[in-house]
Amino acid sequence: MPEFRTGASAHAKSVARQPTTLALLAVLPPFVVAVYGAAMTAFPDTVFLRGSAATYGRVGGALFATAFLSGLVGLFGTVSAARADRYLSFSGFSSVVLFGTRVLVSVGVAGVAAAVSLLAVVAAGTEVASLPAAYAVLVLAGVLYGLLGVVVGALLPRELEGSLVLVFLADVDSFLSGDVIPVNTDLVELLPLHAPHALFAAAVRDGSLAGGPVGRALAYLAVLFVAAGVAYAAATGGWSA
Amino acid sequence: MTRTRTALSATVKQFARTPVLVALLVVLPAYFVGLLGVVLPDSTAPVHVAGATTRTPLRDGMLPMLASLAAVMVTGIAGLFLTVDTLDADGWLALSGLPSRTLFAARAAALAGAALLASVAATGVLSLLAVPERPLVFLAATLVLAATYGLIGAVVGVALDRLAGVYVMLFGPAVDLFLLHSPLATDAPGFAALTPGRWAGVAAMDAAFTADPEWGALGVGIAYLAVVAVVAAGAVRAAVRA
Amino acid sequence: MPNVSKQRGNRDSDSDGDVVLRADGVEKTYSSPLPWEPDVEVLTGASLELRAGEVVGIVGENGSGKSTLMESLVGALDPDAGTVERPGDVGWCPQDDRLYDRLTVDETFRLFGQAHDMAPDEIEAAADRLTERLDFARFRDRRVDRLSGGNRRKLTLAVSLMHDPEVLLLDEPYTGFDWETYLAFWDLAADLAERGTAVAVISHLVSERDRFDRILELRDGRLEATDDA
Repeated sequence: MPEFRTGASAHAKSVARQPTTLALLAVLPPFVVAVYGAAMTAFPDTVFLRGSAATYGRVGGALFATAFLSGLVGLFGTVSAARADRYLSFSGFSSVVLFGTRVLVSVGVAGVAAAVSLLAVVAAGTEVASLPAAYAVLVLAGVLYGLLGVVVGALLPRELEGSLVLVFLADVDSFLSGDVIPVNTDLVELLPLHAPHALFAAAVRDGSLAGGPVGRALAYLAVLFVAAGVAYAAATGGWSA
Repeated sequence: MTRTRTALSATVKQFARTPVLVALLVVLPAYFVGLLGVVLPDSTAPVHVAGATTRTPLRDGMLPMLASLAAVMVTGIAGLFLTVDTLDADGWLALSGLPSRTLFAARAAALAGAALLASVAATGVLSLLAVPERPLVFLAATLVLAATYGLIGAVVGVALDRLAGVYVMLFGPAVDLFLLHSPLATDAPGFAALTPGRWAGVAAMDAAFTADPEWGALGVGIAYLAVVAVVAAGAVRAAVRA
Repeated sequence: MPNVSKQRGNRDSDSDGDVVLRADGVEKTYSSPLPWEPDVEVLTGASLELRAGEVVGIVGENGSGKSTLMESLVGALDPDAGTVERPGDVGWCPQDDRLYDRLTVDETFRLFGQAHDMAPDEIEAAADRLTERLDFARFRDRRVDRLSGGNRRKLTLAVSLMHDPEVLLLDEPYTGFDWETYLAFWDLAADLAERGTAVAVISHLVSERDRFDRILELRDGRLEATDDA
C-alpha cells in the first residue's frame, strides 16, 4: 500500500525531526526510573507486599516514562493532525489510512520508549526475570497511552495543557495501579495501567505473564483504539476512504 | 506610583487570564494533598527532622512535603509565565519610557501575591488532613520557598519556551523536595545543600512535625531568596536589553 | 535601555534645526557563539538624516538589514560602531507585534500611555482618536490574543504614535491591513507629516512611490538614495 507507506514515513520523519522529542525519549526514562527508585527507598520495605521499595519505584518509573512519552507523541500528533491531516485528506489522502499511519508511528514510539525505559531499569540494578515479556508489556502500556494521547488531543487541542493532563494522568496511574501498596479505593482497577502494571511486575519478578490480566489489558486496548478513532475523526473532520 | 499600579494591574490580569495557571493552582494542592491524602495507607514510617526521628503515619509524613511542593510548582510556573513570551513586549514598554525598576517592582509584587495565594491554598488543603505543628511558620517557610522558585521560574522563562519551561518547573522542585529533602529520607547528597529545599524547605518540614522550628534554616532561606532575586533581576534585565 | 520618548538634544545650526534624527556610520555584525559559523555583517556604515515633516521610504531585499537598522535607530539595539542622535521624540512601530496577549486593547493603551508619561485623559483621547481613524474601535474591549492579525497590527501602530512623537519609525506597518485601513494609514501619515512629524516607513514593497518625499535603499549594509519618489 504505497499511500500507507508514504504516510507512515512522513509521520515518522516529523516525529524524528523534533529534537525535543528525541531528547525526551533518550533522557526522561533513565531520569524517571532513577528518581522514582531513589525516592521510593525512603519508604520502608515493610509497606510493600512483595519486592523492595526501589524495585517498585523503578517499575512505576518505567511505566510512567513509557506511557507519558507515548501519550505525548499521540497528543502532539493529533494537535497537528487537526490542521495537516485534515488538509491532506482534503487533497485526496484517505483519512482511514492517515489514522492507521498515526497508530503505527505511535506503536513505533512506544517501542523506542519501552526499550529505553527497560534498559534504564536494568542499568539501575533491578534484575528482570524475562526481558522479552517485560518489553512486550511496556510496549502495550505505551500503545495504550498513545491512543489515550489521541483522545486527549481531540478534547484539548493545546500542546501544553494537553501534556499536563497526560503527565498527571500517567503519574497517578503508574503510582496507584500497582498492587504493592494497599490503596484505599477500588477505582484503581479502572486505571489504564492497572493490568499492565501487574503484568510488568510479574515479568520483572517471575518472568511469566501466565495468570495475569492479559485479557483485560487487550480489552482495554480495543476500547481505546475505538475511542481514538472517534477522537481522530472529530479532530480532522470525519472519515474518508 | 500610578505607573507601578498600572504595571501591577496589567501583570495580575495576565496571571488571572492564564487558564493553565489558575487550573494548576486548584489542581495541584487537590491532587498532591487531597488525592494522595486519601489513598496513601495508614502504616507508619519514620520521619527525620532536625536530628530527631519520630514515627508517624505514612500519610502524615508525606503530606506536608507534598503541600509545599504544590505551592512551589504553581509559583514556579507563575514566575515562568512572567518572562516567557513577554520579553519582547517588555522591551518595547521599556523603550516607551517605563523605567525598568518600575516594571520589576510590579512583577515582583505580583509574584509575591501568587506565592502567597499558592502557599495559603496548599496549607489550607493540608490542614484538612494533617495540621502542621506550627501552621503559621509552615506557611511562612513555604511562602519563602515558593517565592524563591517563582524567581527561578522567571529566569527559566528567559532561556526556555513555555512547554519546556513548565516541565523544568515541575520536575526540578520535585527532585529537590521529593527526592533530595524528603522528611522520610535520612540523608541527602552533599550538593543538596545548594538547593532551595535545603533551607526554607527543611524549615517548613520542621514546622510541620515539631513545635520547635529551625529558625536558622528559615533565615538562610530568606537570604537565599534575596540572592536569587538579585540574580533574577539581572538575568531578566539583560534579556530585555538583548 | 534608552528611553526614546524622553530624549532631547541640542538644536544646532539653522540647517540642522529641523533634523529630528541623525545616524552616522552605523555598523552592526551578528556573531555566532559557534566558532565555525561565519559572522554576518548586516550594517556596514549606514547613515541618514530625517527632517521634520518628511516621509521617507526605506527599501531593501529580504535579509538586507532593514529591521536591524530601525532597531539601531530607536535604540533597541546597540550598534557596534557609529552614532545615532535623537533630538526629537521617537515613536517606533516594530515589525512584529510586541503586545501582551492577555490585555485588552484599552488596557494596552493605558499601559503604554503611562509608559509615555501621558495623563489619563490624554491616553483616553488618543485611544478614541486612533481606534476611530484606523477603524478598530469596536474591538477596544477585546483581548489582544483574540484579535485578528490585521487588528493586532493596527494596535501596534496606534500605540507607537499615541504620544505624538516628532519622529515615527514604522517597520512594515500595514501588514494585514485591509484596503480601507491601508488608505486610512496613508491619510494619517500625510496629516502627521503636515504637522511636522518625520515619518520613515520600512517596506519591502514600495509600490506607491509618490507618497514618499524620498526613498532610500539598504544595500550591502549602507543606505543609498534611489532615483524614485
